[in-house]
Amino acid sequence: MVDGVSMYGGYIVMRKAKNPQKGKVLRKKVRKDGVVQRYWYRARTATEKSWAGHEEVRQEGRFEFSGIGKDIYRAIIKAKREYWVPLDQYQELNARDFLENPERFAEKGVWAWFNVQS
Amino acid sequence: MRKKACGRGSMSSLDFSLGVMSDETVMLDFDDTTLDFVLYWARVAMDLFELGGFLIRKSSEGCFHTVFDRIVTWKECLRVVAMVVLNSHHEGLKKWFILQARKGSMTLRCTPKGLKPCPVVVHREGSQDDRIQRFLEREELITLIMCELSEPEDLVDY
Repeated sequence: MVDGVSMYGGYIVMRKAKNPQKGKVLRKKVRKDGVVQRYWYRARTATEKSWAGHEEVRQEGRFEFSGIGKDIYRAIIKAKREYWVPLDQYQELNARDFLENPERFAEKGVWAWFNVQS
Repeated sequence: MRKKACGRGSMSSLDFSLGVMSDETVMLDFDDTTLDFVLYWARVAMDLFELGGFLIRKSSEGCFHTVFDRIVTWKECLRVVAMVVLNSHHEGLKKWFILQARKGSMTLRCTPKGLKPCPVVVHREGSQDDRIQRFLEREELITLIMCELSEPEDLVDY
C-alpha cells in the first residue's frame, strides 16, 4: 500500500568525468541550433576547484514520498532547500526515513526545470 | 500560524513538479481530447468495475485527469486502466499507462508545469467520500508546500 506525494523533474548533479583534464571542469552548452558543445574550462574559485575533473550531468528522477502529511511536508521542503536529488530514477521512500537519513536515498544536486512526464 | 493567499492558478516558481501518488486509486490521464470523450470512458469504467464515483480535473487545454472513488488493489487498478487503454485507442493514455506500470503506482500532477496551470475540477459524479476525499486532502497538502516554497527563505519561521 503506497499513498503519498511524488516530487519529480529534472536536476543537475556533478559526476566524475571519463577523461578528466587536470584542474579543469567539463561543461556542456546547447547551441541555438541544438548542437551540444562540450568544453573544458579552468576551475578558478575555491568552489569550482573542488569540482575539478568532474562534469555536470542532467538527469530526470523522482522522489515518491509516503507517510503522514507532516513528514511529507517537511521532506519536500528539506529536499528543495538543502539541494537533495534522488539517487535512482524512481526513488520510493518513507518521508520520515528521508528526514532522518537523507544520504541513504539522495545526493547533492540542483533541481532544474525541464519537461518530465508524470 | 501565518495564512497567505496562494494563487494555485499562477505560474510556478518551482523547478520541479509535485503530484499525488497512489497504488490503490484508479486514475486516468487523457491528453489532446474532449471532455465528452473523457466522460464517456469514465462512465464505462465506473459501471463495469463498480468504482462508485469519479472526479474530472482539467489540467490544460484538451488535457483531463480522472480519479475514481473506490479503493482497489494494484492488480485491479491495472485491469481498469488497461481496459480503457485497449478500448479507447488513446495514444497519450497508453504512454502514461506504461510509465505508471513501470513505476508501480499512479501519479497525477497538482502543481503548475511550465506554461500549464494547476488542474481544476470540472466534473463530479457519484460518491466522492473515499479515495477522492483522500486525493483532495493530498492536493491540499501540496498547495501548502507550494505556499511555503514560494516564500523567501529568510522570512520562513519554523
